[in-house]
Amino acid sequence: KQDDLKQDLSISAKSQAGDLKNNKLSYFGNVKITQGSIKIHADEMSAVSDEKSGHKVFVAKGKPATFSQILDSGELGTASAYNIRYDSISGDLVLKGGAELDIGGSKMKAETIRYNIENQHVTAASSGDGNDRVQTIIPAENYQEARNKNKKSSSKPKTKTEKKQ
Amino acid sequence: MNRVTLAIIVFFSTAFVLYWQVQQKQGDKIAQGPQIERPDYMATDLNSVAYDEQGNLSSKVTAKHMEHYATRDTTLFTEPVYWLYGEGSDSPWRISAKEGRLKKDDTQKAYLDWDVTLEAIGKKEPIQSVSTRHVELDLDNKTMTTDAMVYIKGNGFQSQGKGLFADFNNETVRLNDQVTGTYEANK
Repeated sequence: KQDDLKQDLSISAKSQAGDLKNNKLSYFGNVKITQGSIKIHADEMSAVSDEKSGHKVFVAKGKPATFSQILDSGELGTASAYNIRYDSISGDLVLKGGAELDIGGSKMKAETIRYNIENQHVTAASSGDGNDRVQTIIPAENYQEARNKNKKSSSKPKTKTEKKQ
Repeated sequence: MNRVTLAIIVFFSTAFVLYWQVQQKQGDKIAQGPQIERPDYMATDLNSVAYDEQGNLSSKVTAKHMEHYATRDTTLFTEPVYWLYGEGSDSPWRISAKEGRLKKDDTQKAYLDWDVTLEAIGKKEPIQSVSTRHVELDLDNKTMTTDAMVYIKGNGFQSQGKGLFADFNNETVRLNDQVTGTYEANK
């Protein structure tokens, strides 16, 4: 949802370890994060502050770690990967290792997928060693819908109550 | 009866009188029925410092008040504050509580009760303070444990869990079970 990033983020886990030497706080065992409609589920998760942005970044690891969010359209966006890096301020999501993304039915598989939940931009990259590809599957009706939406929104500004043609 | 024997007699009689008096006082004490155990020695605004073999500062303890009971070989503190220096670290960990006890069999173990708070001086990341109801402090291995609920406060977040193990040498604080936490929204 739009205001997910403005919500408090809550965590539950079996145990937590604070490592003051390396300024790292990690959670272990059935780790669940909730922030608004965003849910992340992983085996292990550490909260680190990002050097560049200074933002609080959560690095979740799992077999795979999963991410889900209810999109503004009401549909469910899900993602999974062995390593999910989530910046709770900018909304950047970096999925690494067997990454899969399913946003409102359009699926994507790649080694690494970057996805921003604010503007829903996606970039995907294969591992580059040649034996894996980025696969994108856009179901037919989504394609039609996306085209109609572009036609409609370009013709007249989106009104609050939009009747389905 | 030369002077020497006279001196001996006088000496022994005074010794006997003194001894007899002390016995009397002891007798009174017991005679008065169950006596509230009085400490054998007390100290106020206590401050003691310990160094390790290499001469580095190992730990410091201050307390508002201290009582030692020889019969039970127990030492009680009020408002004890411990500073523990982990290996190779110059900034100490500060542990304070309302009450503290040293045990007879192992004076390297301290039990701290009520409003126990732990903080790493000079280190505000990732944890600012840890508070719980009671802890057992092991001054030899520089570790601290409890099975009570533990509350951690950090920069923009707080968390809690059941049971704690803190190791001051490798500077780790671990919550053992049922951990929940909240990170404040970034307004």
